[in-house]
Amino acid sequence: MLTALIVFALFAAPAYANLATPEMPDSTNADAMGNIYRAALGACIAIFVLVGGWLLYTAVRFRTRSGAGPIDPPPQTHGSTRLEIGWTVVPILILAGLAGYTFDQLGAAENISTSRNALHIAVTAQQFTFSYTYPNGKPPSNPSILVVPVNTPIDISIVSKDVNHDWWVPSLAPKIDAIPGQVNQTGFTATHAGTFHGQCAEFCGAGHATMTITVHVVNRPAFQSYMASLK
Amino acid sequence: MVTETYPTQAPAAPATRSDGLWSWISTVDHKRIGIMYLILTFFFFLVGGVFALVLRLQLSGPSKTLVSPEIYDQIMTMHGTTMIFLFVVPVMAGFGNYLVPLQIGARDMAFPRLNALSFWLLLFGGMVMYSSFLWTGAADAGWTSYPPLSVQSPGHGQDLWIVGLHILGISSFVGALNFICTIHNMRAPGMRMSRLPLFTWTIDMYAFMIVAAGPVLAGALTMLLLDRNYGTHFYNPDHNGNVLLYQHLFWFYSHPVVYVMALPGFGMISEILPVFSRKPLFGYRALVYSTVAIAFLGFLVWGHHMFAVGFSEPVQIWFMLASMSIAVPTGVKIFNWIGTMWMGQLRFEPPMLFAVGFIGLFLIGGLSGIMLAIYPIDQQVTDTYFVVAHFHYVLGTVPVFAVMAGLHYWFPKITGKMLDRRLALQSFWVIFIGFNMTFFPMHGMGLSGMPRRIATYTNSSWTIYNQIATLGSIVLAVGVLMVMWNVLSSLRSSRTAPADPWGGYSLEWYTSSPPPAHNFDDLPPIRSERPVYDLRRERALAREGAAS
Amino acid sequence: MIDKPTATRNLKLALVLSILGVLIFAATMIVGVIVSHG
Repeated sequence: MLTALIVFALFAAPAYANLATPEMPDSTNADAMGNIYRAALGACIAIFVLVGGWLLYTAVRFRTRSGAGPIDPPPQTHGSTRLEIGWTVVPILILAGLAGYTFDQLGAAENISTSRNALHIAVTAQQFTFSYTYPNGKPPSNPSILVVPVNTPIDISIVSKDVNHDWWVPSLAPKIDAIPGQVNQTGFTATHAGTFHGQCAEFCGAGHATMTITVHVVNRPAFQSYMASLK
Repeated sequence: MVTETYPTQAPAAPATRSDGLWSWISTVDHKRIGIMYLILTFFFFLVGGVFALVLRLQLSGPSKTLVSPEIYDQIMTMHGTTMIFLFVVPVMAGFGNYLVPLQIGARDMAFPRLNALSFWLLLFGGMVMYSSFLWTGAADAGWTSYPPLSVQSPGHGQDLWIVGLHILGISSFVGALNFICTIHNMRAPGMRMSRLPLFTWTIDMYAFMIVAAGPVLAGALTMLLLDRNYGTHFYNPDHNGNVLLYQHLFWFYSHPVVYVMALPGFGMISEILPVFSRKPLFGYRALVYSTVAIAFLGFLVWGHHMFAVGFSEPVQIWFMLASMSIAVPTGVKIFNWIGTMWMGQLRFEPPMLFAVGFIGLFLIGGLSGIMLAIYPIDQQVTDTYFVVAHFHYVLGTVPVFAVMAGLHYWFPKITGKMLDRRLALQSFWVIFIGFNMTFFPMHGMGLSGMPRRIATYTNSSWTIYNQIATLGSIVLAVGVLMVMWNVLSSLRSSRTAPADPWGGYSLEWYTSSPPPAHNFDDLPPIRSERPVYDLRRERALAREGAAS
Repeated sequence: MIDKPTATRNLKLALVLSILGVLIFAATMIVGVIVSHG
């Protein structure tokens, strides 16, 4: 039993370090997303400790030594309506609380920007590359690197030419599928300049693992001159 | 250990039945069919497990070339397909076949010949699917087989996959009919539904869910087959078709199927905990209601597998709330199980160890499920290894812990031999450590951005998680082999099992180990959900009365 | 052998469930046709 606990703690520990949070978008909706995630993680860890702890305590406290002679059986309790009500209502309340908090943060977490100065990028997914088109109809100078300005709402529409794909840059935006026959929307506002990586997140065939994404977020003047250079 | 034998039972010596190969091939005895199911499904478990080891070896480090992406995709597809359709779903039918007639005091299933057909269709369907490896290659679009990829996939692998799955669907549907008729029409006098052992209750729900959901999958697969081979355009958007139609239909079946797989596992746990706690099941009614609630709610949540496809917000919210709500009846189950143990006299025989291990690990999976139900979180971690972690903790624990618990519990009844107790306890710990080493790091993998179904990766920050998982999978494999060795060597051992080695409660423990062909010479009175316990108690009281 | 009334009940229930299965399959196909060709 003790070994089990140690073994378990060993595996639990890294998860409960900062590795327990997902790659969060470096973007304006990141805080809200992070809040929802941390609330859920906190609730789940608390429940695990309480219920798992109760299970472990029960297993240890009430075990009998094998080989102990015949003894009277324990009280043959069949159940308790009060407990049933209790452990139905309390979880409902916890879940309602989590859901309520999620709704509260949902507005800020929504990533579809309708701002008038949003920069619209059209993404096309196909086996096995993503291609991009700026509002002026031009692709990036390096077709596999999307360049966008920092602190600007980016509005992404995505289509597929063949099978299902998914555009996912963990540090910038939640994932969105590219489904043939429809146009999907996502968006983000990057808060830091830098280079961000991602890859296709919907199985699309033998080249799925190689379908990578690179986004350069640059400051606005740099972006202006970049756009001017696109011929 | 209760060694009392019931004097009215025939001894375990075989009567006039033959044991030759033909007698097994032509059998319609539910016990023999059950055994054949268990052997076949366990074989597929090993095959699926070998596939998993290949995947894990390929992913143990970045940029490995153990297998090409094309082969990887076939193995990835067939790992999931085999584990779900050729192992976990039918293994429950195997245990159900063996136990349900015994637990309800019947002589056999309602339709013994149909029962045999179900088994042979399982074998046939599996063979059809696997023949693809010998031809143009197996299906390679994932066990979910989404179009357009699965429509475009060249060769015949996908077609054999679809046809094989249709055959398995018929096997499963016909088996479900059998279970429902048996449970509802063939119970012994006194065996009211309110006295049914939990395992049989869960098989009843298993069967109803298969009847309701199976035909939807059949429809989705038929349209896929037609699109692939007969020029239809159900899923082709260039000709008015709809790609998402498949996903909706597929998940409308496949979400309930996870409860199809899990509920009988829960049933096994619900039988084992009381016996090894020397108490009745705590909250029998609540456990039945929560089983039914899970089965029903399971049909309302399929969209949580599709949170990234671009649903409108009201739809996302519906699926989020409905999915979160399943945690309530599931929690009720867990609490009642611990309540069964509470203030009991716990004997940690192998079945009990596996059962308690199951509860703890399933709890982890259930909690990660709540996180996934919250769609803003899901949009970060869906299609990553976080989901792979989640479903192995809820679904992988069912065969690896719950079914293992059931195997160790009912092995004496089925074979008339006892498993080696020490080896069983050791294999539990090896399996427990291996399982967690394999799947817990996958939470971290997903949170670090590692998507699913990639044949390789270059991001070296994922390597350490993958190395631990690969090592864990080898440890897990060793544990499974230990159980297998225990089974095989115990069959040849001299440790014969009495009718009731554990002090069981339900009717299967009344008859000999193994039971005679006709199951029962007679039955005890059935006045509660614990007829054998009641009989034992009556006799103990009578003895005390006579002694005083 | 099972007594006649039970056998009849079994057959009836099995028939009802089978018809249900076929209807659900047909409904799925109809939904498919409507969505993709309607």
